[in-house]
Amino acid sequence: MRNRALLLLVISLLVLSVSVAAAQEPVTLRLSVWGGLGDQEAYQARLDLAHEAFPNITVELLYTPDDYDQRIQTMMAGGDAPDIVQLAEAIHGYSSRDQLLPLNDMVTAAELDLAARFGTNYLQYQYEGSLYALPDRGGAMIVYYNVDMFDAAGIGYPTADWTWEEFLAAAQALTITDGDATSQYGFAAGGWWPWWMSFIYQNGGAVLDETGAPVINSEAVQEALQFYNDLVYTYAVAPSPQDYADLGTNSPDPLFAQGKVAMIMTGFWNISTLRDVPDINWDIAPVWGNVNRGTVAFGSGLAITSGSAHPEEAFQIINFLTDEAAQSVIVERGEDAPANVNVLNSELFLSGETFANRDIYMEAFGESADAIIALPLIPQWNEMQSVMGTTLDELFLNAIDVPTAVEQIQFDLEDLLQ
Amino acid sequence: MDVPAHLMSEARVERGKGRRLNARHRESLWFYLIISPWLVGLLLLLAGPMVYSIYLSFTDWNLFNAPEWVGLDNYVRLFTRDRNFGLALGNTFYYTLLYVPLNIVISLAVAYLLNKRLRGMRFFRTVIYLPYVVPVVATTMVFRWIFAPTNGQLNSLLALFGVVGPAWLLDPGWVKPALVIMSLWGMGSSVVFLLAGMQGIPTEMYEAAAIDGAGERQRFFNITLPMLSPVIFFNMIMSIISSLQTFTQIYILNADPNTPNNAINMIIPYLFDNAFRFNKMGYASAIAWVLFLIIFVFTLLVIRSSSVWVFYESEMKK
Repeated sequence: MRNRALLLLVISLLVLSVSVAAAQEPVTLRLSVWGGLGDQEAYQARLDLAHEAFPNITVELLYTPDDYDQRIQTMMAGGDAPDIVQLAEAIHGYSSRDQLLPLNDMVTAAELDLAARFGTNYLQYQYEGSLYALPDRGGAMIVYYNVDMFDAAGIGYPTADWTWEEFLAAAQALTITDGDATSQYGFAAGGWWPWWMSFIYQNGGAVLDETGAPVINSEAVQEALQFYNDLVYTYAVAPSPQDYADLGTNSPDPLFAQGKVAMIMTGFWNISTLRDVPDINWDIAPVWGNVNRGTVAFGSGLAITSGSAHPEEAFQIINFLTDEAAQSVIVERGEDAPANVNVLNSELFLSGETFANRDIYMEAFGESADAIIALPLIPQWNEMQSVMGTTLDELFLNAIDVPTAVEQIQFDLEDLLQ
Repeated sequence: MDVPAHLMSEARVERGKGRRLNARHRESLWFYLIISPWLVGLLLLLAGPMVYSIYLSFTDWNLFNAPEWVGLDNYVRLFTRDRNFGLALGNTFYYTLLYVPLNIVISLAVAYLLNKRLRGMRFFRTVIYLPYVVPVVATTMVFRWIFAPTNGQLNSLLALFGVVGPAWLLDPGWVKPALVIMSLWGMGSSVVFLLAGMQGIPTEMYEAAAIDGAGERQRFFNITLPMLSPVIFFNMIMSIISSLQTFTQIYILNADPNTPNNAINMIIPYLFDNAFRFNKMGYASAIAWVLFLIIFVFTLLVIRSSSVWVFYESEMKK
């Protein structure tokens, strides 16, 4: 009897040690990301934390600053896909081709409450009922404004309640011309899709309707594009592409940092750029609206590729990376707004002390949450952007008018989506 | 058995013949052995994918799922519905028709000048050839500054003469001429071929012509030009093919959000977008075959026309 118990003990110990050995078998995964040097360091710091939590899992960081989608596609086509990939608006090109692993079963097994961790942010990563990524970074496009310029013009700072009328009046008051030359612009934007797309949605327009059919030639869209272009060519409160070229840049951000522009719209990342710029007195605010409020969420998620040999371990990693400890690193390093709601509402983030060397209105991110546009994240996102961008380039150069532009885009989109 | 002497020698000849055949055999074996890297490369890396791409051009294939047969759909769409392909095709022809003649005339003029006996000629030849060695990427970046609308070097230069220059790379009407100017800056290779050709023309011809009283002009048009025509022919075919395949400049300029893409996009960048950004491999293959046919027709036309204007020393003038 005792012998049998001993035997049982020995056997169970053996089984246990074997299963422990199986769990401890070292696994190496690869995680692919884009971004700047700061992003690379932040991901590495988070992966170091993950390695402490899961000593048997080592994650190599693949950093691709340019042509990200092309590189990932090429690796996938060559059967050499990384296990985990950072993806954003282009994600459903991948999900529609079955290149990503649906995460629902693993989310259920891990008892992960998506709504509690991410709010509604995870919905954009769903395609045909399956979840393909866990939200990792987030944060709306917000307004950066030059406080001194507003004070000099004697007008109130931007708020979420502004409509286009107040925005335009402010931009006009903030624009200073010196003969033919403009020495200070009230506003600056251009051809990047988050800018014009947020104006379209602010006016109640949309690119696609609920059925997925293009509606870019609607009255609301035309009005929005006309207003957007008039800012440059009629009201002259924003630089044209030609002005940009003469100013030696193609982006508003450096112009704002040089004190040549009073208001720009961009993402969280600009905080860390402006932190190191002396002599600029700036703050942030949520983006205005017109018929609706509307801004874009700059986020990215972490997805597991369907070819991964270690999907379980990969899920453990992305689960860990989107949990509080690893998400706090994003804030501590001032890299981005985190996707984890608890971290987003934490004192660490709202105080801004780790990334802004001044007291700024961090609530702007929270106040943007209910103004975020449901982007048309169709599988053909890249091609849709290309189709719209090529025609809008001509519009923003004032080479064609709004009705021509929207009819061209409508035609191209109908052709693309048929 | 006695064998007559004359038969003996014949037998020796037979044996000798066998040895020669053997040597020839060995030689051809070496030939195939040595060219095999290229032969295998051609078959596996070029001919194989080419044939496969004919098949792909009749399919809808996103690189990952199995190709789906769609018959002539891709070709029909290219020529009936795809507005952007039409624009890319138009831009490519516009650029080619502007660039090729200018390249031939200007490189000929420059080569003629570089053939003069002057002090420091080596230096000038280097200056002309150097841009060809500079990567197109670098050239494009530098020309972005040169072409800047108000402060750019080119428009500042034009302003000295009271000319208000266009916005070049930002103006849909001027962006293609700007590209041509950029490409002409890199004409060094055409010039080098022409220069070599000029130096190969026997001086007796010029001396004989001078004795007959031919002036500089006559010597150029009646000796230099005909003697150079094979080189010009070669340059023409090469520059037609390379300009129909323009890619790098467009790829870099299109990355700037302010570039008027519709006015600048060409066939190869459009093919690249379809293949690697939109994952439409079948469609991209169809574009590739259309471009192949276009290049084939252009080249054939030039070759056919060559009997009229290209002169080879070995042929008799009709």
